[in-house]
Amino acid sequence: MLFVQLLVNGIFAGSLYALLGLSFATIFATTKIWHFAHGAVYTLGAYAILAASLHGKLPFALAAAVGVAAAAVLGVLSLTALYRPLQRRGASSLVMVMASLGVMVIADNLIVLGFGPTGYSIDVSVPATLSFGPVLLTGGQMVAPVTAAIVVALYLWFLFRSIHGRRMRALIDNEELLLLNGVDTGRLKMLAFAMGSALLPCAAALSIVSGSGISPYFGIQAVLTGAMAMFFGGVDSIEGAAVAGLALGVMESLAAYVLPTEWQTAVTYAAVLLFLMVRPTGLFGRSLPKTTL
Amino acid sequence: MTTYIVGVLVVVMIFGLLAVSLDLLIGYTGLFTIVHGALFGMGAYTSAILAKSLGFGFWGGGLAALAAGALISLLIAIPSLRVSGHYLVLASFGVQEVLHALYLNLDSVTGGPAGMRGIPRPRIFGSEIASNTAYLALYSVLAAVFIFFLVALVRSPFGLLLKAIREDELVPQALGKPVVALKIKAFMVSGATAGFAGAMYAHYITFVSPETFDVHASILILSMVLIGGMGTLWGPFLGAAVLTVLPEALRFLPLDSTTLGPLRQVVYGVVLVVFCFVRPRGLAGGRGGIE
Repeated sequence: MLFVQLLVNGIFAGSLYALLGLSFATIFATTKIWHFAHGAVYTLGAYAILAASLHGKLPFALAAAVGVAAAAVLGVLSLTALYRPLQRRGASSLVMVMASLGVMVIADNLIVLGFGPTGYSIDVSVPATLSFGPVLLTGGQMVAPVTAAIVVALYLWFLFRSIHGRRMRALIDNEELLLLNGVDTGRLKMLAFAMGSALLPCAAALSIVSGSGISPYFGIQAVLTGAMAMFFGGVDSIEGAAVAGLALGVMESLAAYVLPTEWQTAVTYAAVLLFLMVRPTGLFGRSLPKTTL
Repeated sequence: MTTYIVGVLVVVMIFGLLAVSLDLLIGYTGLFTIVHGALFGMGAYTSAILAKSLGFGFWGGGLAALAAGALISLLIAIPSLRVSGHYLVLASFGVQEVLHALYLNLDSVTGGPAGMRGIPRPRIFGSEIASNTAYLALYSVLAAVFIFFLVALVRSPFGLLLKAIREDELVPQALGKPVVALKIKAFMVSGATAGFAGAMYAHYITFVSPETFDVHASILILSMVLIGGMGTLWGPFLGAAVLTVLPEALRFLPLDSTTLGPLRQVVYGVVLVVFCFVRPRGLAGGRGGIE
């Protein structure tokens, strides 16, 4: 029964990780930028939800929409106000990573100065906890996987069915071919940053719904989870990151079945890294990133 | 006041050594990692645990910290460097978070969030190092020894090969040089040095706690390297001095510590971003920088 409970917990965590993976992959696969400031966008998006919900007195769904909009704007801003100007100055990818880290540090700590170092939680009404014998299913654990599945399905529809989504996937493999066909890849990358960032507050909102609060420094962990999911799924397969994210959550949770909980993450990451050693293209990838850092 | 200034200088020695060791990796070999804070912690915890449980002194603990830093670096480098730099970023970042979580959660070994107190001070020729001045003397000699070793290393054929790898990996590969093995060796030297710096820290502060070795410590050390100037060795030392001394000035503002900490981080961040835009080759900014 512990196993089933852990599986339930794992599917819940995995549905959040799937969103984080999709989000990081959308940006990294198309632009090959180590967007650490993504963590700041995650935190700022979460605090935008908080502000809209607690201070703006908006209903939670509307507050989440505010967070999505804020994150999309911040994502586009990080491309246009940070990476593009650096690129124009001929900065190496190393310098861009450093700048990205710098922005994350600034944003996180401004949040601490503005909202204080402790976390916040928002009360959202969710279905009551169901119990199946000894297995408990909290309201958040019901709402989150379903919502995440809907968001992922919509996103995959966008990626595979809409012209912009298809172009974004084409950008992963061959930017030159798109340019030859007269596609403005600059604007396409802006779209990738907007879409990738817009997914973050969805994850944040689901995490709030499930009762885990938000705190100023939790963005960096989201970046790492997203990056792990992306590499695990395969860098050239954005959709793979969603499956890998879910797998990551389930693995992490089930690890507690055999090991003390403090080793959960360590074992999960080690397993992913060992897997990547054997199969660097990940679960669904076909090729390795051409550029290197 | 003098004690305070000397104390800041001791910290400069420790972080200077950390920044210089990271520069071997970033500046000379062109490998980006984000794990130096955790390697620093590995050294600190290794020597602290050995001192507390087995009665090791500074020298024995320092050697063990050296080995621990090299070992962790090896474990990160082997799976990732066989593929590419992107995988090294992922692996190092993952290990940073995992090690920090272990420092925080393995209560029985590391003391958990409360950390470990009462780490003995170093003894040399039978007498204990007690004053900050004595620490400064000992630690500047130790830092100098390590830095001279690293300078000699980057000037040796080994160091030239590292630079060749940074500029274009294919050329040394075509000449039949074992590129991956060279990268792994560079990482191990860097990690070992960071581990030793950790032992220096533990035996100076005599207290270790997890938050000193989180991802922000890694970012801080990276900032020191960038601000000082990648690929110069002495530049990152300068960067460490600037980033250690500059925020100390904030201490004299009439602010409470809950504001001071984040404010200090904001200052680091702003300085880092400004340098990325205005002077990406850092203060030293020689020709050795990365294009």
